[in-house]
Amino acid sequence: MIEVAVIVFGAAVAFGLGRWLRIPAMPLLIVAGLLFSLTGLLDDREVVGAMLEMGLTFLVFTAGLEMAPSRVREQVGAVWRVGLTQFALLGGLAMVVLWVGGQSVEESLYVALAVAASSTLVVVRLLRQRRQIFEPLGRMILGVLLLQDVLIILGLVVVSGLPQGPAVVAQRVGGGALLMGLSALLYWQVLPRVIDRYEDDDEIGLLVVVATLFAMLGLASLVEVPIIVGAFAAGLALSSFPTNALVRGLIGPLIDFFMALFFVALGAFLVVPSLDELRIGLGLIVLLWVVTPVVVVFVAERAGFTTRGAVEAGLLLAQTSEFSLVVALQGVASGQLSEGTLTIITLVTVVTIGLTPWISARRMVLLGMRLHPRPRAVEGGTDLEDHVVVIGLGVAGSMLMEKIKRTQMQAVGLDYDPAEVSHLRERGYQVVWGDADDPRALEALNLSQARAVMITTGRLAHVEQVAERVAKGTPIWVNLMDDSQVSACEAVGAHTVNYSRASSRRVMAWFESLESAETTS
Amino acid sequence: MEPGFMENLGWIICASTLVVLLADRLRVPSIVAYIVAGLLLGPIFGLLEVTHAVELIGEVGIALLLFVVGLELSLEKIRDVGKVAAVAGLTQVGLSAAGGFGISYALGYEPMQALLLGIAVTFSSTVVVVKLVDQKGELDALYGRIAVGILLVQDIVVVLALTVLAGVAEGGTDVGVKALLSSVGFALGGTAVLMVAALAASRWVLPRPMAWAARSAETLFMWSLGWFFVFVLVSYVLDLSLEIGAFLAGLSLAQLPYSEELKRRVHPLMSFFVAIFFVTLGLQVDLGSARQGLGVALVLSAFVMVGKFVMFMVSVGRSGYGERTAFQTAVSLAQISEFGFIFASMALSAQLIGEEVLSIVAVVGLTTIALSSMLIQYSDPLYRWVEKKGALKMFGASGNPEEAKREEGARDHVIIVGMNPLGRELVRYFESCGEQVVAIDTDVAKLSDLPAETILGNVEHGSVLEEAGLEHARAIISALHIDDTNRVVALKARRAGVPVAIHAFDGAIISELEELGVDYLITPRADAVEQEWERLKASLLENGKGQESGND
Repeated sequence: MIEVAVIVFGAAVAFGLGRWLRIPAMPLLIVAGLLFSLTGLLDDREVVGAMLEMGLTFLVFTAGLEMAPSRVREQVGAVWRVGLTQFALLGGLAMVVLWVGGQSVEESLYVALAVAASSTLVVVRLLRQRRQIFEPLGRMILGVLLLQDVLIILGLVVVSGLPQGPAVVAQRVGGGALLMGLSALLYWQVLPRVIDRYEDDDEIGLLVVVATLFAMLGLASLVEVPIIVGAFAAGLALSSFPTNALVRGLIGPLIDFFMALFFVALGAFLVVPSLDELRIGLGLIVLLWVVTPVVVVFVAERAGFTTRGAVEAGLLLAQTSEFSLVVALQGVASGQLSEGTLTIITLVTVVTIGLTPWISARRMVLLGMRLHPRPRAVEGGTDLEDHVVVIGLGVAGSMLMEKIKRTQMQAVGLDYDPAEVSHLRERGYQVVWGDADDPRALEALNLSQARAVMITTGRLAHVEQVAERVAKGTPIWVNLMDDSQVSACEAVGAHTVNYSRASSRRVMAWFESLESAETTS
Repeated sequence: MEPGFMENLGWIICASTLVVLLADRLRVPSIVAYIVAGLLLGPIFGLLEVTHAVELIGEVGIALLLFVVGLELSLEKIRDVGKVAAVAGLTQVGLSAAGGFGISYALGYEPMQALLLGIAVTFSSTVVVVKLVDQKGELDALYGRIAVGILLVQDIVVVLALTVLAGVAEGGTDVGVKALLSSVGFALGGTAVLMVAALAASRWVLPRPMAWAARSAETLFMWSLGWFFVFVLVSYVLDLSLEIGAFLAGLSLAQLPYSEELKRRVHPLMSFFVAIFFVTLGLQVDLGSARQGLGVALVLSAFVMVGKFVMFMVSVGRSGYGERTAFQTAVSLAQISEFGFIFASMALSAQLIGEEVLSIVAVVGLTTIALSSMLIQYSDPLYRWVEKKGALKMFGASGNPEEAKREEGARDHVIIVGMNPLGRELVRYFESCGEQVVAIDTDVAKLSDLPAETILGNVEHGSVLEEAGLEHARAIISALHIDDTNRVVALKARRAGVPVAIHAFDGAIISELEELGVDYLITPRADAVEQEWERLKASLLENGKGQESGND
């Protein structure tokens, strides 16, 4: 009981600190575990090990549950290119460095697998906070993360069988395929119906979900693949909509609880690294921070993203993953990896994930853009005068372009989404491809000669940049969601439109139409 | 890592799920199913033994269950049942112990063994009662509160009895009365101190930090569990009852405005852990020795079920409560507690009793728990049947005056989910138009200063929309910027037949929402353009250099 209490207490402290310091809780949870184990409060390895295993299972299960390839539909090409290149290059580099440094092939393979992917948990949360998850960039990054999770699971199946030779590898790949096949069967035919039926009975619903998970684990151990492959397959089997949402509703707190416990328990299993190991860890961190952004920028630019977007993607992906810990633990459990290496991988994960919010902050993106030798900032431009500039061509931006055109005025739009840009160009609009965060793109709009500027992105930074460039007295219109930035916008001479307020009247009109429909019927 | 932990747990989960699914068809309560699953896995097929880690999960489960009970009950709710709980609880404890002792002695057991059997059949099972009454959603009904009050009184007596037994077991028969008295005093004093600490904390310590933590659902959840484990740990270290510690931790949080959300989040955790506890109960039964004392066990079971029923019927009925309340309370408490097993096994290891007595307790436990689970589940139709026969008149309870109709949730209201600027604007606008609004968000700060009824919680968790009264709402609107959750809102609204409007913040999700039958798509950016265009156009034309003319 003391161990569980200490672990939960450590988790509570880590969550509080994380909220206070505005960093992800995960690295703090691991550090809490390490500190508590140094005090000797977590000596009952049986209990701590049990928590670790449960947490690991739920962690991988959740990754499977959240697989939703449909969200990244439009970005499939970019996802493949960026995801595979980052995975292969980073993993390959780490592999070579370690192997040359005298590590065994197996050990190097595990480390390579561990550093090759980025953290879905942390990056998705950041994208949500920054409201970027539905932007093309956000979708591309999400796709990369999901792809890498799958690659790691595949990699684990292969690597775990390597010492016993190719026959065993083939056998395990077959076992993995069998699990995925079963998972697909459950996904299409069985689980949606079962979960739907027991949705209202919390207790049975919960049991069915957890039993699915454990049955898959059992099956995985039966076909001799790492049991976390079973956890992933169980998650996949439940990942259809609305099943996944119902599952989250049924066992969400259980997942949160065991995942928090997992990271603390993992911390308790770490050993103090030697100087040599620390050096390797440091090398890997540098590798991640330097190689990932460079590789991602290179590939993402070629997949159609602006330098700004590519740099942001590169910085957002510059960390190891929670799956790195899964890989390392699997390696230790199968005796292919030493505890020291587990510590290195965890250390790298703690540092890179903990610092992700800072590494990917706006000023780092701007720094990256400045350092870029040949940026792809802008394509197209205008020397029109007395034109109306529309920045951000989403729903509102496209509507504005159309309306302005109908008044016989000249409109010039700016957006970084290549699909949106080419779509509007095909319809005869004048559109510049570029990023409003990039001064070079703003220069291409001939803002000083514009009649008016309409900014639909709602970002204060864009308003300020534009205000610096337009002629005195040129109206700037900003579409804002709330009133919190009104005074800042007005300070630079912009007019604001509150679109929440515009919507509430329309929603009310809809609501009243329901009422009148009711009374007339 | 412990080899086989996951394997053991896997067997437990899978077996109990199968049995529970079957039991659900036969309308048998899940507790019985869990125990049966345990019997199948352990004594019958010999597949499993209880390991330390699994046992620990069970222990945490019981503590979590009591934590939920504490969360359920604010101080006002228990204050008015304090007296009846104390009177009925203490009377019953005395009478049951005496009766159990008398019967066992009469059946030929030695005084010490008879005394142990008497104590073992005295207490009712907090876990069973709370779980089943909670499943019926009646923990805060009057009978639910009285039953919980009585169980807590019993728990205090249990702590004292365990303390005495531990003293006797340690020191044998020549343990000093003084030492015993001092440990009993310590147990009582410790419990009292814990209670004062819990209540003081709920008033002066918890509100501010918890308000800060409540801005993030995860932090609130982990902090509350941290708080729970502080109490459990203190009780554990001081040898007090873990259950009472957990209950007090819950009670101190129940006074905060986030207790509903906490209860929702702790509930799945508790269900999972408690299920494992019941399976381990079944696993530990020794069928071989259970056969020997079967006759005695059946007599004692009958005494428990009939005797306790009569005692509570009289004591609660005569305390001025209605017949229905007395009946429901009495039916709920007619079983023995898992403490019976603990007592008996402690006495066995102190060589105060033999194996046979332990197995009698086990059989009485299984029989009464299984039977009373069925009775609790069907207590409403049972009462109607018995009442029709007029069989309860002899207990002298008054009619059914006090059961005021339980509060109904909101009706004819509008539910608005997601208190981002759009959501907050919608709430204000709807309220200003005279509509009754229920606002939902996961961040407590976003719910503050809204002119509406608010619920802290995630709509993906089943009971949040239920609590918001979705069934009776005139419409539900989601302003959220999270597409998964929006789709859940759309789905649940469609199932409930309530008109739904969803924030379509991205063009790519519109078709999905339309497929789900969303009645109205909120497109704020487009709305803003539509609404402001004339003004924008006028300003554009005015600011131009004059050569164009607008003909929109």
